[in-house]
Amino acid sequence: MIRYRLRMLFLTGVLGGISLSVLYINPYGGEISLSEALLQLSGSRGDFPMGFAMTEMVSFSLRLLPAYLFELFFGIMLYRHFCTASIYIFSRYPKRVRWYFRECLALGGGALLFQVLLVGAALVTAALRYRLYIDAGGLLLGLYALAIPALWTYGATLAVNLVAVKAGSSAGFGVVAGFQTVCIVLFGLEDTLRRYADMVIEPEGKLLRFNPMASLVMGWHTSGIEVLDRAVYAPYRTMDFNHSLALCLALCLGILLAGAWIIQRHELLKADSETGV
Amino acid sequence: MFFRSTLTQISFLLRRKGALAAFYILLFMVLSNFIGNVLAFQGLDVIQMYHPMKILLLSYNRINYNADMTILLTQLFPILVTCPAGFALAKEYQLGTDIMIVSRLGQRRYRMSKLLAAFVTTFVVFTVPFMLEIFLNCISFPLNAAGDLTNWGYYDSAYRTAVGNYYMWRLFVRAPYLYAVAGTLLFGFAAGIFGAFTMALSSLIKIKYNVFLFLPVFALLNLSVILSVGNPANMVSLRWDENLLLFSEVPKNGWILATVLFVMAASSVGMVWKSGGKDCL
Amino acid sequence: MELLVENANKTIRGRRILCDVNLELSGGNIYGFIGRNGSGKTMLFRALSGLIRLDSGTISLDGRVLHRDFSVLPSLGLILENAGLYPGLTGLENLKYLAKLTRRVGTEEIRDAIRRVGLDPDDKRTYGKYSLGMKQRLAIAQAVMESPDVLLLDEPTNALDESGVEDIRRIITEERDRGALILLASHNKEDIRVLSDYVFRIEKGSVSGAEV
Repeated sequence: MIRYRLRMLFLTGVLGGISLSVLYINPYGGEISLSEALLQLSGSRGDFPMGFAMTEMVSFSLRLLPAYLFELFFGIMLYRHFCTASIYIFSRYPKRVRWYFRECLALGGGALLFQVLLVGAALVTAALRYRLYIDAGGLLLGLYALAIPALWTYGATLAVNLVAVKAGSSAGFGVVAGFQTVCIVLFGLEDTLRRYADMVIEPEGKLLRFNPMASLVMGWHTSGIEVLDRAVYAPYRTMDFNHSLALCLALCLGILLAGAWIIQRHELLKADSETGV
Repeated sequence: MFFRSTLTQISFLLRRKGALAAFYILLFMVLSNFIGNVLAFQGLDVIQMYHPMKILLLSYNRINYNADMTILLTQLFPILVTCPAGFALAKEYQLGTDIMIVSRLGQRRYRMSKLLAAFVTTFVVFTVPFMLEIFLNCISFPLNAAGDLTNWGYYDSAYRTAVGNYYMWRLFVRAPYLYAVAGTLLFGFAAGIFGAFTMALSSLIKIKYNVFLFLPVFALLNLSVILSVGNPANMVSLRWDENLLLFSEVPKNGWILATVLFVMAASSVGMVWKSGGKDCL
Repeated sequence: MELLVENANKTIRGRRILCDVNLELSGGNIYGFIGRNGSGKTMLFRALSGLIRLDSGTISLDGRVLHRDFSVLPSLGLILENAGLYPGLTGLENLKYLAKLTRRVGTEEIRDAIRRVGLDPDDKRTYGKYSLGMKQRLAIAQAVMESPDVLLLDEPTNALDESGVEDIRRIITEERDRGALILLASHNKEDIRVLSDYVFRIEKGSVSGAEV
């Protein structure tokens, strides 16, 4: 279990979940299904999946605020060891990669716990405000709604740590948050290509499959499982839950392995990476 | 000596990585927006063409037509605004350079000049690229084009209501290009206040990791958006982007913006003044 | 030039750092301060340089009181532990930045100061790549480049090799001969013995001595 900043994790997860629920879970008629609640948490407006208008993209970014806070607070979890006399620390940890994987495991546990708290708090708040009923599609959707964002948050937070080791904590967060923002803006890439380059991508929504941030929009996905597919009103047939899960997993693995290589090869010329001295 | 040291610090901060990175990112966005406009509107008759100032990156009017770059700007702004100067004081604390500077200038003078330098640096970084875009639009697009991106007619009551909600709407009616310049300066001024506020906070609260300095302005700006979620359309907007972007037709109250900026500026000065009386350990 | 410290007291987090310190110092002398770790040498220097405010007592230079008539000694060169420079700038760039704040000296004087401490002003290496000895030399260069009236030197020969120590001793002597008032704190008894005109002992924040 991750001991580092446990209190901050609980606070961000629970308060984040409650605020997301209050702001974005709005059913008609006072009752809502589990699947609808989860869809609204990830960008849908009522029965309508998320579109590409500016207001919807801004609204989606706001839903990611708790995750950004997690990245900010936990983006120094590994990095801090490079700030406090790293030479003394790593002269006692000759097997750096083993140390690294152990820390990554703790971070992964934290990311999963955070997602569980976030979604859990949101659903509990919704259940207290409205009548929340469990549908079969919702249970399956809940698994994906935990797994995909947890993997994404984990990968992004790890990336913040690794960039920070090379360039400082502010650069680490700035680069990763900036990358995520650019990915959100690229949701409308197909439209932009059609407008400026007369390029029509078929089938519609194809480019979204390769956009990591699009994996977080549950309402854009389809599934081979009928009960789950019926619960989601996906506008296209190009994004699949399993594909997004695999994409996030592959990204996490890539960042993990790249991180092992970076940590192993990082020269401890500076005692404190934050100041560069 | 105060102004001399301030000028030195401004010159120093403008050449640092944070300021340069923020400047080039904004410049890239501005140029992308400009090139996109050229590609989108080339060949249009002047009667069909939109007003050159309404297709600026800072124009809220853009949300009616291809607002990708404007969305990117509003999303990156809370992070970018801290980059030019927000970390300046914290960095000097961490390095121990503040000791060498305080021994030359004195505590209060050092911190006050740093605050002013942070404001000016952030102001410059968040004004120059947008001023450049105004200039580029003036030379590339017909100055007598007058279209609005909502495609409302000028005599449409909805348009007149919308214009009435612009800050400095009288200036817009008489001199739209001057309105754009003034609005850009206001945007830069607000950015300067945010940058200085972050620096002022770091003078009171010593932090080990600079990443936490993103938090205050990031939280404040996003809170302003969250507070507006679910508000009725005719309610005065608290969102920072609707208040600071040009040609924003959303109902606003200039006194709220002025009060927020004044409170932030005053508290920045207060924090720095108070920290100037603390021991430099 | 006369630097007076009268009944100086300072407590930090419940611990008495300076205890009724009284000093009468004049220009053209080197005053050595010896004492154990944590005895208050650095804190005394911080108080004299205006970095910390006394709880009671005064520090005055030629009749003008610190923190009342001025916030920092008007012409001061300072070396303190844990003081650093920008790692991304070269030695010359760092010193030019500091000098531009007060505009008392130009680039030539800065270059002379860097040469004086045995460094190359045209060295393209950044400060972050300097060895400890080079950093210490640069710190001395920044302290003397503006020909200050008062020099506060806390462990100036730290991390220096034998020739470096000789160079720095020579510089300190030259500054004294120029008329500067020099306060020198060092664990190296040899430095104190060779350089100081007067020696003070500091123990638990109290100053005693004035041995010649």
